Amino acid sequence: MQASQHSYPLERYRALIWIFPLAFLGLFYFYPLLEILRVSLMAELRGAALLSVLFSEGSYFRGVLWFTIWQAAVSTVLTLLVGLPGAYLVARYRFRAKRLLYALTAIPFVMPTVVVAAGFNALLGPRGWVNLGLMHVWGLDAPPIIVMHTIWAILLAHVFYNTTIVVRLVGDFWARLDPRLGQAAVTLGADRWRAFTHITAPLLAPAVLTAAILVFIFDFTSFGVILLLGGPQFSTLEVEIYRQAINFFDLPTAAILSLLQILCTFGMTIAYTRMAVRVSRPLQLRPYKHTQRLLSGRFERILAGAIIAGLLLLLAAPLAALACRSVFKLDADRAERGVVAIGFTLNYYQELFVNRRQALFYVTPFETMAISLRNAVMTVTLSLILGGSAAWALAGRSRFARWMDPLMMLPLGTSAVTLGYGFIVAFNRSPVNLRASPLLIPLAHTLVAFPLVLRSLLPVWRSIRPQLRHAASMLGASPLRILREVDLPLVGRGAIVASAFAFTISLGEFGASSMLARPEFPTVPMAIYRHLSQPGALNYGQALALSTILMVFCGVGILAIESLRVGEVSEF
Amino acid sequence: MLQVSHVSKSFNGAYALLNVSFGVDVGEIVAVLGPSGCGKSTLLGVIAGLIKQDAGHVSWQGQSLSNVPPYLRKFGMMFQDYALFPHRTVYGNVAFGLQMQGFSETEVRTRVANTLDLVGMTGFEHRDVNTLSGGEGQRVALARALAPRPRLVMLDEPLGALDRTLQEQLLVELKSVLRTRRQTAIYVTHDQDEAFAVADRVIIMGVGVIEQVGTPQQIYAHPASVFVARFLGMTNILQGRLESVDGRLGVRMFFGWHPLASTHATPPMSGRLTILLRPTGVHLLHSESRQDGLAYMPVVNSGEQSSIDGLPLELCMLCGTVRSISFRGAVYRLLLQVTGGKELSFEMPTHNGIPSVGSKVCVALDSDAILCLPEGED
Repeated sequence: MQASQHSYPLERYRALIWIFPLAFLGLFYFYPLLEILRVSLMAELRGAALLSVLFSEGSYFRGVLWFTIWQAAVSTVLTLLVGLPGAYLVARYRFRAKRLLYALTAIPFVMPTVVVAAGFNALLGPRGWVNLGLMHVWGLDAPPIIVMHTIWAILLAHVFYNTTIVVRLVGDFWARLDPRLGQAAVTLGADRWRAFTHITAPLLAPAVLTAAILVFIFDFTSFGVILLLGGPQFSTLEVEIYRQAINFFDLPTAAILSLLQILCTFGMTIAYTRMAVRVSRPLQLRPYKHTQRLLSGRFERILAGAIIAGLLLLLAAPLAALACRSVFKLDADRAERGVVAIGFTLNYYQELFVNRRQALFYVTPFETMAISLRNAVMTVTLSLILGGSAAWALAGRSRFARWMDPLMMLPLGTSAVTLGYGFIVAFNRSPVNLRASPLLIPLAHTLVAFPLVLRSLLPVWRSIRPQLRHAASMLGASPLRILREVDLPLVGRGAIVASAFAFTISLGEFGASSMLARPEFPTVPMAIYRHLSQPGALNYGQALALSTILMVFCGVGILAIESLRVGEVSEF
Repeated sequence: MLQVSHVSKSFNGAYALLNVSFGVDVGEIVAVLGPSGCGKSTLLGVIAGLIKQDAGHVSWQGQSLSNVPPYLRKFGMMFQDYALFPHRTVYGNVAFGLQMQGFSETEVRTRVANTLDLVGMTGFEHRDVNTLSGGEGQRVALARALAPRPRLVMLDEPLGALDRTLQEQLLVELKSVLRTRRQTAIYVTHDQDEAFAVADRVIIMGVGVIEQVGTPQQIYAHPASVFVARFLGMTNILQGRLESVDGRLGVRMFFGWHPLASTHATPPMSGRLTILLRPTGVHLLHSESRQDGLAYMPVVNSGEQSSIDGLPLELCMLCGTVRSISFRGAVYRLLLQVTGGKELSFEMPTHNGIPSVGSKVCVALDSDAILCLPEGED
């Protein structure tokens, strides 16, 4: 470090740079959380032991909590069942479709919940491909498959979202696990089953558990999926916070629920980090060429084909259904009752620009796109400034930095609705009144995107070894030239990846936005939610069209992330 | 005994093993020696049952093992880099095979203690295997392979990951452990010193095929092919033809004629021969000025022969320029550039003095200096 202080002028300001991320997290993360705590404590004083009422035997909220836990548990188990065969396949075999499979598993990372909800709706909903197809074939009057607004829709969407985590986390770990350990067990007299249960499974267990905890956290804090696919009869803690705060204006109850949510997610995040440390215990990890082989024999090929086809169906079918459905007229519109014209149409897209109701407060979907894009641009700018400075400060590897690292990741473990609610109670009045500020939503989005942006930029900053700067300076580059010729080009790729994350997260963010957005400035996901929950084929078509546009934006974002990222961004 | 018969295995169309056959007697240690990538590990995998061969079969005491899964073969394997189970202690690793065979807990404990004692690792039972040094890991891996008393143990480059000094020390220990137990073993290595030191018999493998089988002495004395000679570091390979002089069978080479040793098998009577000139098969001559030019005398104690088998010395003398000298303690390696530009390398005892680089020297061939190889090359 001594030497690099001379060759790198910004080095001595590393301590100062902490100010940006710390001030940001302090004001927009910890302050709102404290406000939630304050409001809930006051609520308890005022509200005659509200807590005990909330969670007394047989109460509504007890049911909410119980539902939150069991749907998350069942979702997690299902996700493991679906994901583990895929993890095994990518871990132990080399095959041509692997790149495709990996690209595919990237989709759920940045696909907004509203898009996924719209996708499942287009596939399995009452107006979806499957139901309309079956009605046509069997001449039925009503859709035969009822998945929407049942627990199955919720479970299906959760499996869609999280299978990727299992395939990637467990698969990456499994791929580096020495297959000779299993062989050693076999030469020592263990049959294949015992070699698996005694050797492979125990070694794999931390990775599986880590993935399971992470999946459980995501399912536990699931918001959009429950709201959009589950419908009004299902409520998790997250949804309940939203309903109490937005529908019933009961801030104290929302505060107590938020507090509970924070405690739960923090507890699980701690469990997750502990497990993640255990995964990185000193195993002799082997390079892929020693652990993977080609598929051989008909049985293996068929099995691999089935797994790939299954994942393809799960991950791509809803999105493909969405895109196709948005340009197809399959059922009658309100305006043309009885007449069923089937065929290609761009009508849904054209309607996005029309204010059909002539209502004063109606914002056309097209205008919501402008709002969302503006938010996204602001989010990218804020994220790069804050995430960039935080990454650079953390790259110093001082003791302070090691201590700060998990602190910086905290927002990842806090649900978006809680963050949004925190913003409501903290910034609705002085001293920091941001209620009317156009920055409010971008700030919330930045908070959500911050950990991922940080994780994208950190390995890049760390990859700039001091030797590179020394070499440049020995070759006659001035400090400023070094910054321009060495640092910035290297950081550039990371910055693009970070921007793509921030951009797609902002475009698709639903939880915090639904808490914070004012009705005259709805974001795209909110417009989709509104159109999906209103009756009529035209509304439905518009929701799908808008979702498709959002999907394309996010798809471009994924491509940018996947093709440019340095190191493992998906280390969560 | 173990019998490997006509085993072939190919990966993606490339042969890793081609029609490989050999046997291992009970109590015998056989080294499989070959360059990396020659199919040694594949061979072990086939014997262990971890890799399924395309053709041929493996049998034990006459019983084919084709339908015996690896976990029932009772063959032990010590892996390259050991593959110790990272989630088990030293005890847990060594006990694994015994537990799989269903021994009682007390029996397992006794046997693990005995085996650890055998490899000198008593007291390490509760150590985390991730904290072991290279040598300790090697011993634990050996103990783990030996604990279930396998009928055959296979060692895949067991010393490959260690430094030279430790290798030599552990090699001695390893050999004595295997000998003490009268353990039938196959020892795979790419290091000829290791193979010759540990094995009763050595199998030399080329790419996918067996090049030669024999005792270390046999192989060293009579490399069966150019490949084996080269692999053993004997690089002086020349062309010559068979020629009788005064009724003695000998070989004519570019620098002269040299009789074949009486012990040498009769080579085929074809014209051209491939000749191996043993690196240790020559001695240095020192020059002496005489009226009729330079005369060369053997640099040996007086009273020894000044001609070879009664033939004049000049006939089998090789002269050239010293290109390099590398000192190896008791011997030095001499790189001699001879007429025609060819470089030959010899090993000479140090105690007779070392010529300087660039000087011209002559060497005389000993009686057993040359060996006719069956295949023509070079």
